[in-house]
Amino acid sequence: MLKRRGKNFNQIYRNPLPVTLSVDKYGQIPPTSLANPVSWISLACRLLYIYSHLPPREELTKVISDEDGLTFSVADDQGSMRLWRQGFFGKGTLSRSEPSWKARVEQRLGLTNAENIASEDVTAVRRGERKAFKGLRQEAQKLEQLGRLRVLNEDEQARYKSLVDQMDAMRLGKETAESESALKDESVATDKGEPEDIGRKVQESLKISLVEEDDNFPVSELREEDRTLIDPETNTLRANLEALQLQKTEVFFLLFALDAVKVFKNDSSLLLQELFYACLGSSHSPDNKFLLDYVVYHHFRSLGYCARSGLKFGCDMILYKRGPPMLHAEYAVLVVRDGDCGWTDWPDFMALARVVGGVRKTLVLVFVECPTQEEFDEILLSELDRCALSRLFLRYKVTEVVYKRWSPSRTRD
Amino acid sequence: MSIAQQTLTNLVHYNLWTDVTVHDVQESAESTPYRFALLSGLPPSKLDQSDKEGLREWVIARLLEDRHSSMSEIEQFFRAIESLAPRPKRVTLALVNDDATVTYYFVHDGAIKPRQN
Repeated sequence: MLKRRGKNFNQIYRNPLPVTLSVDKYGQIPPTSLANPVSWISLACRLLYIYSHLPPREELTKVISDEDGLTFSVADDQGSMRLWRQGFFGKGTLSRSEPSWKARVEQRLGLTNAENIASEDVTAVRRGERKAFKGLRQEAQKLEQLGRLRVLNEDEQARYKSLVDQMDAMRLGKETAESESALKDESVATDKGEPEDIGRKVQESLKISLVEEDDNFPVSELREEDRTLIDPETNTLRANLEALQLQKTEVFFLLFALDAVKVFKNDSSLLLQELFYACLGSSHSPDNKFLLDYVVYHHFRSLGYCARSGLKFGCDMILYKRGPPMLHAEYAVLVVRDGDCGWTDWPDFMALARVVGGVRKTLVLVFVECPTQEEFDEILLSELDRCALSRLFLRYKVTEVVYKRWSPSRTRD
Repeated sequence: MSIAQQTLTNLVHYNLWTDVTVHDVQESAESTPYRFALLSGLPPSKLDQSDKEGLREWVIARLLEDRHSSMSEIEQFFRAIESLAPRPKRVTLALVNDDATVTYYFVHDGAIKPRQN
């Protein structure tokens, strides 16, 4: 399910993980041919050079844990950009996914001339259209009610007719936009009916809002909250209120599996073991929710998927083939402890499958088999270094089951 | 950041509410401790078509991770507000996820006519 085309995604999101390869740093290995001994020498020199140096490492990104250990966030822009662009980790605290609050606010308050379209603006336009439609509908329904009580006069009849026409036009406009985008790429089912010309619409609406701001809303009429944001001398934002926030599974993956971050709490850096216990919380049992989630997260990350929170679809994770900017998530993952008869029962699967089906994703039930409490305790008692943690995670078994609703009457010949 | 602070930032700078305040709620001694924070503010436009213009909205901020929930807790939401203002017809429940997503739900005090989508 393709989202938007024509952007240089391959350049911006070149690395799927925040890891620098030797190839990136030292360049490709020179072409060699068997018949040309000189090329062997240059190959040998290059290999010797690479193997005599330590593998390239970027500076570790600084992640700050708050005092309660509830949130992990990256405050510096460079680190945020690294973790977002290389693997789509985290989420802007004031954005839907990529941190875009600063750019959005600058645009809203008219502090910049740049024309960026954030995904939030696209949603705002769609919601605005829907709201306008609802307003018309409400007025029409009032007239209908009135019409049942008495005969409408001419003005009212004319008004009612124009309302109905306007609503029909809006419905028609939506349908043609959807069918057009479906025609353009038949194999692609439009996920949320996002028409191709949405970019143009958003730009128009942004321009309108900017014009309105200049004419009708002088700076003195800004929200009190906005005025405190702006530095009156330079007419720029005082600070970026947004940080990139990482989930527990993400921050643990970045430290345990990739060693790409350094986690700080109260100015001292946390050891892997300390982070593990911080994520684990108070329940030290093998079926701890963090452990189950992490096992599944690590599993899908290892398979090359980009896994992100599935909160908005009522599941534990959603899986992207590359990442949120390019493709809509294809799978919704529910983590189930094997043998659990808690809240994840068959009726719950059914309910979730309907929700997930409604947004055209495939539901994947992931059953996790846990080690016994004795095995778990034994590993936790030993020194918890990377090796011991690997041993612990190896005791977990992950099985995926795709859950699909089948309606016999629709598939019958 | 506390859940109250997270919700406040989200309301003011993401959903563009104004005049948002965090309220101190007095817990009565015998009841179980509150697992939520209480806020109130003014949304940029009416949240429901049947609302009065300029209605002050009550928001209950709660951690999503905290799976425990019960009818008595929902009653606590309204009790906490009652100690400050007349009992409202509904509150807005803000669920804070560990990735800083805040999802909002209406909790009505009793049954209401469903609204047209």
